[in-house]
Amino acid sequence: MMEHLPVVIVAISLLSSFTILISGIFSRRAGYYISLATIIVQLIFSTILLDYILKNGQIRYWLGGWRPPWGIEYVVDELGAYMLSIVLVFSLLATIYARRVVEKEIEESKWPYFYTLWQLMISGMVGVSVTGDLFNLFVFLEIASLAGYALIAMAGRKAFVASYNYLILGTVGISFYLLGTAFLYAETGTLNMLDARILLSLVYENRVVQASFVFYFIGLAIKMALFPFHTWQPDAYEHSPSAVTVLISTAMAKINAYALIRVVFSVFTVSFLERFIQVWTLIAWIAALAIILGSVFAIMQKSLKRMLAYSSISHVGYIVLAMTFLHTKWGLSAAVVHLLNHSIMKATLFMVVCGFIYKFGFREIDDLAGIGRKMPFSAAAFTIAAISMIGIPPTVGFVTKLYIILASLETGQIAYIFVMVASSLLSLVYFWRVIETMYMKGDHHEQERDELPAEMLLPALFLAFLTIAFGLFWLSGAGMPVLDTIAKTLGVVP
Amino acid sequence: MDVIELFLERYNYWSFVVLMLIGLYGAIVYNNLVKKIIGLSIFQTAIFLLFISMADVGRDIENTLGLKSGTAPIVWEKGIEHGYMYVNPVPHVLVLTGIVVSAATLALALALMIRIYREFGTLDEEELREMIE
Repeated sequence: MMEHLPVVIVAISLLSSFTILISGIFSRRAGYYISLATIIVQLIFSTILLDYILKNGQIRYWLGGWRPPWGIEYVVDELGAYMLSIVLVFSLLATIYARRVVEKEIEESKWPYFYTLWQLMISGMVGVSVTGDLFNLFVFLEIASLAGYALIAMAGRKAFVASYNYLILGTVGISFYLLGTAFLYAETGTLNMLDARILLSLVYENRVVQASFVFYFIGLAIKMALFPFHTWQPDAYEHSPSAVTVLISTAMAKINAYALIRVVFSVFTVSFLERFIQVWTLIAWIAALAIILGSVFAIMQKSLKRMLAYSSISHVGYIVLAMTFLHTKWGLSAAVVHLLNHSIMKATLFMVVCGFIYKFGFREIDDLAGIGRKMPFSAAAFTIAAISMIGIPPTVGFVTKLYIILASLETGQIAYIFVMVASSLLSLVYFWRVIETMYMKGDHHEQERDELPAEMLLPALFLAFLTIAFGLFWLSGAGMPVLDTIAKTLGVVP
Repeated sequence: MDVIELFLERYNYWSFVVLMLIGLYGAIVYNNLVKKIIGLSIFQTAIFLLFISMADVGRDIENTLGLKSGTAPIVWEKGIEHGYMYVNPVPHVLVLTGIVVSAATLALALALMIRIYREFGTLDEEELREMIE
């Protein structure tokens, strides 16, 4: 049974999404509950899988019994199972959060379609986490992205244009990924990641292989909105329906980063990067630029959602910068940890901000005067996540920065420490503005308490709690064995 | 001389490069949303043509086994009798999947375009940007 779980998790999700479509004929509300039930079942399976893999090592599943170099293979290792759990936990929280906002923002006749696409997007993301095949990864990434474009467009009017721009750039990105796969296939004749890793080790000097690496990187950089390719992202986050913003800013953004980690470390490996070190250093500086400029752009924004979108661009920079430290476990650990950490922080922030929009239609920072009294719990959750974004211990945001600083100390690249400090200061500037408006401006006495409904507030509070709980978990070193195993599996440390 | 030979022998790869650049140029430079999606389709098709070109293992086989490349993999035994090697089927399967993905993208893009036109009355990117801001 255990070895079938990777494919079962994907299959039930795909099946469920079409069940929702059919159930829409009979009931418009059924879709939500089917989706919720499926995600809970998936989450249970993924927990079992994670537990099994931590004890017994990776699972390799051959689809249809075809042996790996020819057939598609699903490989779930520690990193894959970790990503799977992240995707499903945030999908679950976003789904719980979604019901009220969807009822308000989307016409009733469209609910079944909304949840069909919602579940389809989750299927795509789950598929990416379990697959061990480069072309299969492309297909799942496209399933998730296409569902994502349609979901963004559901908000109507401005969202159509935002979604269209995302579609154009996203498709260019995924086409570059496909081009990289074509070059890799031309050189090695395989699409299996483990097989390609071995065959590539003989041809690192080959120009075709190097071109393939560049195409992969550019393609996934567009998808994950790394700095020069980020232009689609702020519009897409700002204009999409609230529930979709929460999901694409957490799980969807991370799944692209995960795909990049997979391709770079599982397929091309560290010894390829060593020969290609000039380009890799250049990428590190681009990432550093993304961190700084993302924050600078965020400072200039008036709209809350847009500010958070630019801060996401800055945090994508963190993940890529962390990946560029070779020969130290802290670099990759920071990238892997930040997949979770950034999701926790951004989900909290977006849940609260979309809550303001849901309740009062507040989109701009200046509207928030006095909201600290009016919605004390939401404001508190926002503040905790903001403190974490700034990087104050013992929150999760601090852990990532600490790991990156440790990595730059260990490899002697001191300049990145200044980047971290500068980023913290810039984050302080734009989050302080919001916190100040919430607590110190406006009339404090005649405000009555008017909180969000429980199913929107509780996910945000739970995540705010996780901000500190996971901060302590990582700092206590309890997560270290897993991170060490991941670094070892991906070949970053011997 | 060598350059011309290289060009003529590998004309399919050169056409891939040309098509890809035309497509990318179209997708990025034009302001009209329809032209953008046409460019994008050309870009994707160029990549499919690259895959198809790769499947034909051609010259290498001719040098080593003395067989020409070209039959379908399902009738390869008959092909080999007549001196033909079969093409690699995997890229064809990949392209088939790729075409499905690109058709879905195209359909979604066209649907969005219809909604944009109904909502704003224009498909020009600059005008749309002004209207939104």
